[in-house]
Amino acid sequence: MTRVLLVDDHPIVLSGLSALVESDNGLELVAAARTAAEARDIAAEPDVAVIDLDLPDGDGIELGGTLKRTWPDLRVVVLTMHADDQAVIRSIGAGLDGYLLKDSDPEDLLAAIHTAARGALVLGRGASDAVVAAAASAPRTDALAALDARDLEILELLVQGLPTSQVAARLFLAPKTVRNRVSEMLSKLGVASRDEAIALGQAGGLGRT
Amino acid sequence: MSTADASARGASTGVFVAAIATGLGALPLLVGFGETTLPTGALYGAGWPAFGVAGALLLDRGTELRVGRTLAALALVPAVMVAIALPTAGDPIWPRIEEIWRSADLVVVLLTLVLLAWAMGYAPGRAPRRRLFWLLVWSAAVFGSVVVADSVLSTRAEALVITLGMWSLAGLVARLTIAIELRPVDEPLIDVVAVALTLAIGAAVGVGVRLAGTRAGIPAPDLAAAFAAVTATALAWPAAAWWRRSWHARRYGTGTLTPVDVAAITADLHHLTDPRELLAKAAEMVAVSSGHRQVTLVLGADSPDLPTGWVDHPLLVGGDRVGTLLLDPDDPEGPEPRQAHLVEQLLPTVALVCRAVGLAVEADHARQDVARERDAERARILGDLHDGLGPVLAGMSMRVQAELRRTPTPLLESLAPELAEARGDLRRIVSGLTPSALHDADLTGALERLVATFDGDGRQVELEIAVDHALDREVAVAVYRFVAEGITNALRHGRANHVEVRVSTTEAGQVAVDVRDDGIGGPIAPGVGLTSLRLRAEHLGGSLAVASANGGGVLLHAELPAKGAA
Repeated sequence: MTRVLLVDDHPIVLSGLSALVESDNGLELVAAARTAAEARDIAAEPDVAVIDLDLPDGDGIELGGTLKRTWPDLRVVVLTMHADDQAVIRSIGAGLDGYLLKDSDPEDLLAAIHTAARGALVLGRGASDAVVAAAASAPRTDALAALDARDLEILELLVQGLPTSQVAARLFLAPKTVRNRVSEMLSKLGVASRDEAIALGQAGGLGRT
Repeated sequence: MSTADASARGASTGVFVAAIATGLGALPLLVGFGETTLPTGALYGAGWPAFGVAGALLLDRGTELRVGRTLAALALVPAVMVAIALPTAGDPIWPRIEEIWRSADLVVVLLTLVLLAWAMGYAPGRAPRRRLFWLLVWSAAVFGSVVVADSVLSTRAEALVITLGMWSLAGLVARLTIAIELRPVDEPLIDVVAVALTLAIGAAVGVGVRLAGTRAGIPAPDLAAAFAAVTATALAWPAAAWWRRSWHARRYGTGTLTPVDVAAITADLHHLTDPRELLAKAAEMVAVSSGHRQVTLVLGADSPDLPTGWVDHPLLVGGDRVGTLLLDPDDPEGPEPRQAHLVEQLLPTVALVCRAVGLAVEADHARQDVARERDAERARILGDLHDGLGPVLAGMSMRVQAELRRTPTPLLESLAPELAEARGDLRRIVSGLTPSALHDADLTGALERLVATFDGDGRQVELEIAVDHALDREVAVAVYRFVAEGITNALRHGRANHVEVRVSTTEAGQVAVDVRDDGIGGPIAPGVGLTSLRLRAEHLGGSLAVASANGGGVLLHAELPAKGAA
C-alpha cells in the first residue's frame, strides 16, 4: 500500500486528487494539505508526495526538498498546470522525482503515482508546450507596457547600441526630439538613466532582430 | 533710407554737388559741340561725366557714400584737364587740350580705375568679394582695350574707346553697388565661351569651305563658304547650349521637379515598410533639383543640430512647424541665390510631404499600439482562462474518474470522455488563439504540436509540410489557426477518423493550406470560426474555399500571400 500526501491550494483539484487516490486500492491518502505550512506539520510519513508547483505560501519544489530531508525515502512529484521547462529542470535538479500535468488523463495521474512509488522518474506528457510558449511570451510586454510604439521604436535602436545622433538620423528626427522622448520614456519606465532603460528593453526582448 | 524720406527731403546736398560736378565735367564736351567738328580734346573727356550721373544715383540712395563721392569727384576729370591745358594754350585751345590728353591718357585712365577700386573697397564675404572681382575684371578689360587702342588706333578712335570704356565702367559700378545678389564671375564667362565656340566652329567651317572651294575652282566660293558657316553655326549652337545647360545643372542642380521626378519619389510608396523612407527620397530630389551636395529632412517641431556650412529651412503647414529641411551647399559660403530661390519654391511641397509622412508614421504607431494592446489583452484572457478553468476541469475529471472506478454508471461513463474533450478544447483554444504559439516563428514545430493534441483515440491526423520560404508572422498565425479550425471541424462536425493536412508554398509566393477529411461531408454551415478565418484570409489578400472531397468528406483550401499585405 503506497501512502500518498497531496498538497494543492486549489480546492477542486485537491478534492479531485483525493477522490482519485482514495478510489485506487493500491494507494492510501495519508493527508491532503492546502499550504506548505500545513504540509510541513504533517506527522505521518508518506511514500509519495504530490505537490503543486505554486503554493500560496511558497514554492512546491522547495517544499519537496524540505519534506525529502525529513523523510529521506519520500518520492516527490511536482504537479503543475504548465509544462514549464524551467520548472521541470528545477524540480529534477532539486532531486525530486518528476512532474505531472494537472490536466492529464486521471488514469495517467494514478499510473504516475505508482511509477513514482516504484522509484522511477515521472515526466508528464508535455502536451501543452504551446501554452508554455504563450505564458513565456506574455510577460515580455509587462515591463515595457507603459511605452507606446513611438517610445519602443527609439528604445529598440538604443538597445542596438546606437547613439542619440544616429537614432535621430534613422528616425528622421532632430536629436533634441530624441533626447526629449528618451527623458519622457525614463519617467514612464520609472528609471533614472538611459542604461537602465536599455537594460529593461533588453530584458523585454527588444533588439534581438 | 526710404523713398518717402528722400522725396520729402528733396534732392540732397550730395546729389546737388554731383550734378554740378557732372555739369562741370561735361562743360568741355558741350563747348566742343560748338565747333563744326567735335574736337578730339573734347571727345577724350566725354566718358567721365557718366561717373557723375552714377554718383548722383548712389548719393540719392544714401548708401555707399564713399563710392558716390568718388564717382562725383571723377566727373570733374575733363574740367581738370582743361584747367591744366588753359595756362599754356594758344587760340584755339583744343589742340593743346588734345595734346595734354594724349600724353596723359593712360595715367588718367589708370588713376580712375585705381580710385574706383579703392572706393569699392574690400570686405570679407561673398557679395563684396564678387563686387570687387567684377570691377577688377572689367577694369582690366577696359585698360587693356585702351592700351591696345593707344598703340594701334588713331587718336580719335582711341578717345572713343576711352569714352565707351568709362561709360561702361560707370554703369557697372552703379549696378554693382546697387545689386544685392551677384552671380559668380565665371557664370557669364560660360555664356561667352559657348557663343565664342559656336562662332569659332562656324568660322572654321566657313574658312575651310572657302579654301577648299577656291582650290576646287567652284564658282562663287564666298557664297558657299558663307552658307556653310551659317549652317555650321546653326548646327553647333544646340550642342553649345546643351554644354552650357549641363554646366549649369552641375553647379545649380536641374532646377525643376518634373512630374516624372515626383512619380519617382512616390513610386514605391506602397512597398515601403517605413513611410519615413519617403523623406529620404524627397530630400534626394531636392538635392538633385537644387544642386546641393546633401539634403536631409527631419520631422518634428524641434530645430535639429546644424552641421557647419549647412543651411536650414523650417517647414510650415498651416502655421505649424512639421519639420526642417537641411541643405549642404557646395559653396562653404552658402547656396547661390538661384539655388536659394529654387529651394524656397520647393519648400511648401516638401512641407506637405513631411506632414503626410508624419501622419503616416503616427497612424503606423497607433496601429502597432492597438495590435500590442490586443495581443496583451488576448494573452491575459487566455492566461485567465487556462489558469482559472484548467484546474476546475482537471479536478472535476479526477472526481468523475474516481467515482467511475468505484461505481460505474452510464452517466459517469459519458461524462468522463466529455470532460477529456473539454480539457483538450481548452488547451487548443489557449494555444491556438494566441500568436505566441508561434513564438520562434517555428510554424512547423507549432503545427506538429497542434496535430499531436488531436492524434489518438482511433483518430488519425496526418501532417505534411512543404514550406520552403519564410512566412510573415501574421501569415504563419493565420495558417496555424486555419489548420486548428480545419481539424476541429473535421473531427467534431464531420465525425472523421482520418484527416490529412498539407501546408505548402507555391512558386508564385503563395502558401496553400489543405485540410481533407473522410467524414460525413455534406453541406457545411460556416461557423464563427470559419467565417472569421475567411475574413482573415481576405484581409491578408488570400482566399478560403470549402468543398466536398472526392469519396466523401470535406476539403478546406486556403491560399495566402507568403508576405503579408501590411
